[in-house]
Amino acid sequence: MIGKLSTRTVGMAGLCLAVLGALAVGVTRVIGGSEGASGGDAGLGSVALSVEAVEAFLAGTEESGFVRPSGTWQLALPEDHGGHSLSRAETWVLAAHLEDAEGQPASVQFALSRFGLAPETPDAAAVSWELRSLYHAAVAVWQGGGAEMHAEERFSRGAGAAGQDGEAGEVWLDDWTLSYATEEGARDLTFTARLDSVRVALELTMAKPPEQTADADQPFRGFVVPRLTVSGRIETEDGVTPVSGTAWLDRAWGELPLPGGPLGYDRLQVQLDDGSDLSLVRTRRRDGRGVVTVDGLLFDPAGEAETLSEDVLSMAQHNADATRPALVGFPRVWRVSGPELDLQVEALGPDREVSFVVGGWTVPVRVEGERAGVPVTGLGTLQMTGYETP
Amino acid sequence: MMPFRALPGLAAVVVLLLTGCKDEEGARLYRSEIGAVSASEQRPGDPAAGERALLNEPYVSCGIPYDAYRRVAPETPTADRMPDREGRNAELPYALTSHVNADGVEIVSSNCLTCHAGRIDGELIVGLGDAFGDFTADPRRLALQSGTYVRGEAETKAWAHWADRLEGIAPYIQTRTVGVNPATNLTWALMAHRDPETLAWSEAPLIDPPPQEPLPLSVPPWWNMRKKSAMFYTTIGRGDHAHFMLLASMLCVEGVEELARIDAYAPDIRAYISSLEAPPWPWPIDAGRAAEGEAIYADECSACHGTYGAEETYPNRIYDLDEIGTDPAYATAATDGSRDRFYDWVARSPYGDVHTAAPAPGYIAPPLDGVWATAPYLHNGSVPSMAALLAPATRPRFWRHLTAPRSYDRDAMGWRFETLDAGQASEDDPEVRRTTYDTTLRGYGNGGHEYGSDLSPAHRAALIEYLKTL
Repeated sequence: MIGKLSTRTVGMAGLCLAVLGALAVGVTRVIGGSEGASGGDAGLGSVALSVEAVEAFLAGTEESGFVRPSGTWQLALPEDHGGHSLSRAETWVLAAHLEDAEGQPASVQFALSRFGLAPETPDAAAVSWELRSLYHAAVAVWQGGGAEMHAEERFSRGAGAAGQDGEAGEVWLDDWTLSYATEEGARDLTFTARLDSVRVALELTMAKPPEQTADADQPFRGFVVPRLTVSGRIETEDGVTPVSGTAWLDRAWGELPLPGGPLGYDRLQVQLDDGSDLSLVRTRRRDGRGVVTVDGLLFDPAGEAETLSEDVLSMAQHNADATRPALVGFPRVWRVSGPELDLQVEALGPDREVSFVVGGWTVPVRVEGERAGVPVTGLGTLQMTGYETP
Repeated sequence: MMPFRALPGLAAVVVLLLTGCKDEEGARLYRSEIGAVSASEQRPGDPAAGERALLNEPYVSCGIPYDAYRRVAPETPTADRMPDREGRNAELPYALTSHVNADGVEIVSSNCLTCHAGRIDGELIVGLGDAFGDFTADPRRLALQSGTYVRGEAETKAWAHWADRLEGIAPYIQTRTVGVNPATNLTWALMAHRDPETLAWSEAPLIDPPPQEPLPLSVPPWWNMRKKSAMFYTTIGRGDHAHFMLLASMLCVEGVEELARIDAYAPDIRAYISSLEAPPWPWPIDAGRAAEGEAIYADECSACHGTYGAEETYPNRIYDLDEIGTDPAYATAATDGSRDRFYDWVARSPYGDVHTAAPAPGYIAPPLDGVWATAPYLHNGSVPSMAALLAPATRPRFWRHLTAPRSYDRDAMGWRFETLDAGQASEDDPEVRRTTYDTTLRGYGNGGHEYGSDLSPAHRAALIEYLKTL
């Protein structure tokens, strides 16, 4: 627990990459679990989405007029939970790692991104008709130990259907809403979403201080909240399932990389039962060539952050199928080794072919191993991009 | 015009014939003698055209797509611009050059000033070796992360081309400390990946690459080329200096045709470099004490480093390792046969002939024009100041530049530094380790050149005062 809300500042590659990694995979497909995952279509007509289509669409955006973050900054909460509409892009990514009353793992993922196509204008009439922002959101819910999935993704042009309200403390796309308490020092958030076949309502409380990016040279700003306590419910036609657990929140705004590009990421978030939290970003080329880097951010139970790089850290596929090309098929089992850290990570969700804006896979994971010589278990989320489907 | 190799096969025959004589005449092939360095004829060039080419032409033709670069660096600080550069280049930092490649992608790539420009008292000095360059990091990591903002097929192709080249050379160019340069090892690594006749790049080395750990070098000032008959510390760069300068293009050059285009203006660049003059000491000088120091210089230094005044002289002599006594690793590696395969490569390539790469087993005594600006001293930058150079007993074994802020010590003639108690082996923090100059590391030694050790402190101070005038 924390008292008065405080923030921490660390200028570290690990945190920057954690934030960027969140965006890079935040717009990937949250695996299409439920049959016929639906897509809202408030601005793009019936365009068949592909990386190329989105790149082409976003290539037409105005460069000028957006405010690029510069210089030193200080995180201000709860304000920075809300939108930064003058930034060219921004994202909110929430990963909740939960259990039901029987101890069965469950997981909820929410990723909301806004891409500015033209700067906001004081001309109210223009706001009404011109497409100035493209919103994308994805929600995925896993139950029954990860085997049962519900997932949808939606696009919106904003204009009321998606946006942010600083006074009310809300960001949303349709009826998918992340709310935050607006009082000074508040630590509470809520997330609610209604999908075709499932409803989710989560109450979240920040259990560790947020950690902000601090490198003044970076073209973006952001922060992570490495641990929030969570309680809530998942409602399906089979009934209501109370759930509880922990969550991780990523937030970024500014000059963020758009979908696509030559890099692929393996991003792992782990929340261990000893109270520590770990974020790893493994960066590699999609063409399979070249060096692979690993950047990590480990928060101890008190919330103190430590950066880790590949000098001391490895994140590798475990028992990889040597007969399969390295970047074909999503690896399900990983081994993480680092200073006083040895974890085996196994995907809980089913392995299904995906195709969306950026081909990728998001899946809940179960973790077992040791930290600081003590056996630990945990739950987490693995997000992967840049693989070919077999 | 350079006699560009029209018949590479014939060149190979010549090399093979010469190699056949190697046992008999091995001492001559790819080697120079200790002693006087003879001058060689240089192709004439236009210094003004050379300056323009140096600052604007894409002789390093691969790099980061401009759009991706601007995502992370939207503005160039005024102090990093050179307004006289052309077009886009006027907007870029002085060490970067823009061009549009064959696929229509604008590329930002490094240029010669990455290593050959530095600041003193806020002023950018072209030709001054960068004493603070940082080659301790793995460039592959930088290259990979620079791909974050690359988008589209053409940009990706250009970025991947550059990243692939860095993959080939990265293992060979990481120094143990900041401020020293791995250029020689970089050059050998590039040769290992290229066919010497076609310059075609091979992902796998075609000849044994150099050892992975580069021997450290202090970047020598360009203005010394006014006087020097050969290039580099071991005088390895003989013959047409413009040929040797073309090696700067080796990271990216796509073949002999591109090299020929660069070679067309290389003599102009050589002429420009040879026209540079040392920057004058920018602060007051005690003329009386300097006059006293001039006499000491004449007795102690001029025989090797030359004389100044109305009748300047420069001996152009290279000295035996036993005589100079400075760290032998670099000169030994250059002449013990372990690098001969690279000299063979040069001889077979458009970059030179059998006379081009010919090091001597020693170090040249350089001209001392602008020596005040060129700290730290010795070929490996192991001695942080002139005061320490002239008082060998005071040379720090372990030291670090003071960089917050970086400032120049006018009395000691060098960048302010702190002496450390321990070297890199006992330091756990990698950030501290890489900023520690550890003279116990191989190639990083600070011994030798003990001339001046018998001087009194007053005479040493007078000599330093005189050196400020050069």
